[in-house]
This record gives sequence, C-alpha cells and structure tokens, in this order.
Amino acid sequence: MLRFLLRRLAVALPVLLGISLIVFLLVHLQPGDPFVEMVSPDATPEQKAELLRSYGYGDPIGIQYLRWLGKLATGELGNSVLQGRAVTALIGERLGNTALLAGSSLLLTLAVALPLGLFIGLRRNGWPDILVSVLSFALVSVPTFFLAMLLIKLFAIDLRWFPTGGVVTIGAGHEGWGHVRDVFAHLVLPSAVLALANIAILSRYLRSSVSELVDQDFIRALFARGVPLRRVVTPHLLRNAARPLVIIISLEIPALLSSALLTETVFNWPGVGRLSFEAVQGRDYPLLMGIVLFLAVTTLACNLLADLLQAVVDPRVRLVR
Amino acid sequence: MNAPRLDLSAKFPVKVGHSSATGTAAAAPAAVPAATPKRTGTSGKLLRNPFFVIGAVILSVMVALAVFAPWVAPFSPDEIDLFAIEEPPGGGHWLGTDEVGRDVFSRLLFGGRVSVLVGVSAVALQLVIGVALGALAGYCGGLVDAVVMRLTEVVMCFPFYAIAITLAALFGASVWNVILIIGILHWTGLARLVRAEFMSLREREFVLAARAIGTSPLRIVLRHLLRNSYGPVLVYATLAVAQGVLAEAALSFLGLGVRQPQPSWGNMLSAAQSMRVLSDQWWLWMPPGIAIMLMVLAINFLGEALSSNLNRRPARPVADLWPRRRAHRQP
Repeated sequence: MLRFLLRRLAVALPVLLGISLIVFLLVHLQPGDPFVEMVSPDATPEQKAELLRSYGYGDPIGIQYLRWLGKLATGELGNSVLQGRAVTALIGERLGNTALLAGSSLLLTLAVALPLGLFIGLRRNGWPDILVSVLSFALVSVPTFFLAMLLIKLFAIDLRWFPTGGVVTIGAGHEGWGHVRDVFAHLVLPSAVLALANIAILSRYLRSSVSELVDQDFIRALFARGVPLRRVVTPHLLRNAARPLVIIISLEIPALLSSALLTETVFNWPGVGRLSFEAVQGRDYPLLMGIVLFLAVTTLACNLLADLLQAVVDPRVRLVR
Repeated sequence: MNAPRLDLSAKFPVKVGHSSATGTAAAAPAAVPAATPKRTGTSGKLLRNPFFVIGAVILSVMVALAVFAPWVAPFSPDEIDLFAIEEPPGGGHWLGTDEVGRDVFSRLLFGGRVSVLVGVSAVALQLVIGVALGALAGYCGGLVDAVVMRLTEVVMCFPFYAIAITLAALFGASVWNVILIIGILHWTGLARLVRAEFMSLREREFVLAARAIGTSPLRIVLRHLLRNSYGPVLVYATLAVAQGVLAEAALSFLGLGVRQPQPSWGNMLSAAQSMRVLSDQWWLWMPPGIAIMLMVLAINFLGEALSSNLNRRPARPVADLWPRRRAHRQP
C-alpha cells in the first residue's frame, strides 16, 4: 500500500509542477505589469523602474518562475487588485459557501440516484427505465444556466416557493433556527440544478453496473437458492456496484467546483465560482490566477484521493502499474 | 519496442477479418463485394436506430436553418426597430422583438450559425491535437508516453469553466477565441482514448505482420492503427461537438464568448440576467435555451446511436459461448 502511495505521489509531482508552470505563464500573459497597483500614481518613471527592478521584474523568466514558486510554497498568492486584500483570504471567505452548495448537491445526487439506479437496473427496459433514459438525455443536454433560469422562473417567480438567489434574505436578520431555515430555502434551487445532471449520469451508470451484476452467476445463484430480494440488494448488489461509485464521487468534486461557476453566477451565490467571475469582470488577475491555481490543485488532490480509494476498495489495483 | 510472442499461426486466420468489426469505412469493402449495395451493413443498422433517425432529422433541420439563415430569416438580425421594442410574439414578429426592437426569430437563426461553427471547428482542433498526441503516446510508449500523459493530466486538472474564463479574459472575447479555448482545453479525452486504442492494437498480430514485412511506422499508424480506432474516435468527436455547443453558450452567456451585436444563443440568453426579462418576457430567453437543448440533444442521440452500433458484438452463432468482451465505455 505504501509503495502504491509513493508511486502515485511520484506521478502527481510533475503534474503539480506542470500546473504551476501553466499558471505562471498565464500570470505572465496578463496585460500590463503585475505591480502597477503597488506604485503610487505620482512616482516618476525612474522610481517606477527602480521599484520594478527591486522586485526582479527584468530578471530572466526562469529566475522569476523559481521566485514565484518559492512564494507559493509559503502560501502567498499576492493581493487582489480590486479589494487590496490577500487572495488566500478572499478565497477562504467564499470557500464555505461553495462547499455548502457542492456538499448539499452531492447529498441530493446520492439520495436520488442510488435508489433510482438500483430500481431501473433491476427492472431493465420497463417503462420507468425508458422514462429515466429519456429524462437523463434531456438533463445532460440542457445548459446548466438555462435549467437554473427555468427553475427560478417556475419555483421562485411564479410559484414563490423559494427565493430567487443569494444565501440569506437581505435585511431579514434571522438568527438561530430561523437563519438555518432561511439558508436552506436559498440552497434548494441551486443545489437541485447542480444535482440534476449528476443524478442523470450516476443513475445511468448504476443501472448498467447493476444490470451487468444481475446476470452474473453469484447473484443468480443467490436468487436460485431463494434468497429474498432485499437480502441480495444491500450486501451483494449495492456493495459491488458501489465500488466504482466511490471513485466517481471523488472525481465529481472538482467537476462540481467548476460547474458551480455558472450556477453561482445565476443564483447570486457568493462562492468561489462567482468570485472568479467577478475577478474576470474586474480584470483582477492576481485573484483570478489564485483561484485557478487553487482549483487545479484541488482537482489534483481529488484525483489522488480517487486513486487511493480505489486501492482501498479494490486491492487488485495496487498491483497494477 | 518489446516484441510480442510469435503465435501467428494459431491466431492469424481469426485476425484477417479484424477490419470488419470496426468502422464503417473499413467494413464497407469487406462486407459488400456485390455491385448492388444492400442496406444490411452499418448504415442499414443505423437507419433502423430510432436515436439516430430522430437525432439526424432534428440536427439536419437545425443546421439547414442556420446555414440558410440569410434566406430564411424574415428580418436582418441587426435591424433595429425602435417602434417595436420588446413586443411579444405575434403580429409581424414570430418570436417578438428584443430590447432594441430586433427580431428574435431572425437572431435565433443567425445564432445557430455560431453554434454550428464553434461546435465543428472546436472539435476539428481537438482532433488535430488529441489524435496527434494520443497516437504519439500510444505508438511510442515509454518516456514519450509518460511525458504526453503528464501533460494531459496537467491540462485535465484545470476545471474547464475556471480556466476558460481566465483565457477568455486574457485573449479577449470573440468567436475564434472561443473555438481556440475549447479546442486547447478539451483535447485531453481524445488523446487518452486514441492512446488506449493504440496500446491495445499495436500488440495485435496484424500490426506485427505489417512491421515484419517492413511497413514504415507512419504507414502503420495511419493505415493500421488509426483506421481501426476510427469507431470510438468518431463517437467521441460526435459527443464533443455537443460539449462545444454547450461551452460556447456558457461563455457567451457570461459575456466572454461571442459579443453583441453578433447574435449567439448564449448571449441571447444573457438577457435573462435581468429579473424583469426572466419573469415577464419569456420570448427573449426561452427560444435560445430550447434551441441549445434541442441541438445538444440531437447530437447526443447521434453519439448514442453510433456508440451502440459500434459496440454490437458481431453476429456469430457461438457469440454467447465466448467470454463476454467488455463493451467500450464512453468517457
């Protein structure tokens, strides 16, 4: 297991360096010099040049990369141009909201997709199966932001069941349980939008793995011996079908963070995705690069996690090079 | 290059027919030597697949409307009519008018051109990058493979929308930049697919035979490996067109893709960021949203039909006695 872990890390390290290299190049592509906000407007050109030199602006690009990497290693991502605060602090503030949204949509996905996938996997080609197939095709094909608008129009504007956006009702000043209820009401629509497409994918996936399993001898033998369905489902079917599920879920986290950008923008949800959109609109490049780097490293970490989980649930993986 | 075991004599007769199992191009000459073409081959099966028929009909109608937009559209997409602002559908305008009195239906038709252009060009770019790198990694193996795969992993680590809006902010917003961005971010899946296909194919006997008679590596890659990977690549490319259409819509919706006044379905949808439009003027945002959905759905149907067509096991009487081959799973 330890050897497997070390081998995975050895593969991840060059990838991490590659990520940092790309982000660094993007930082360099940004128009204007990155220190422009640090110079007072009435400084002479000579003073500006002197300041830039003191930061090593004219150094060879390789030296600059190494210096940037060194700063990165100490967790420094620079300051936001618009807000003048540390990028790490800004991301940290918004991370909670994004985690709340991603987490609740993941829970919703599992709560619906697991029973649904199992059900249609056991009853292949019945009408529920066909209905779910058609629906999942539609859900995978609809742009998330359009789905978000449709839900807002229907449930927030016409039916008035849920608020149209934001995290809390502005000016309501709820406390305690009232606050929790308020946040929950705001959470329902965006997490449903994020969950729907995933439900479609996951339930289809589960359907195919369950329907493959049902045909296998050990399951048929169980049925032949007269073991009741519920004693087959949980210990045998679900356990075997859920094995790849662990990996899919850990790979789903970065995808959620990425697609949350559109959902957060439509729902005015102040998360990391919306922050990156605000950074683009305000041409706040240091903030933008910080977020991109953060998301890329998170993705890499999730991939590693997926590999490890796979090795835990399926020991054969450890032996494969 | 490690040489596979020489068990040609035992397996060679089976492998002669290798080309008929994959790909329409390779299957056609082998399966139908007769002069009268019968609809029993791949195309015949496809035409009986409801997914294929529905997808093809919807898609051809939409593409035709987009291509012939200048002749079909009742108005010019940029024609401003300040006396007919935000008119609901009916009267002279089938789908009403927008905030400066432009005809929504005409803009919808012209917007389709952007989606078709971006979808097809972005996939062409992906094919160039993905197939080249995947072929390189899969054929060479070893260090080349390791380097290409690490590069692929690096690109895959960047969540699409986060990096796409960053690049759009750096490059500027235009149709060509959208194509470029989608192309350079989405090739990774193709590269991995082609690599995997090549890795399994290059150990097969017909490749070994080709190498043994002195076929050049380039010819092996193009004629033997690439041609036999044709099927999965076609399916993947089809589905990638749908992804491209969706990505263009999302970027344009955020104001980082196609800019006004040029109409695109994505930037037409961004009108609905105003609560007033969203609640009261459905004709401004529902039609482009439905258009995107229909087009993506049609392409996904085509992809599904193609993939189930390719995965079909050859109709052998003993098929069920053979160990069941794992169907190629789409990413």
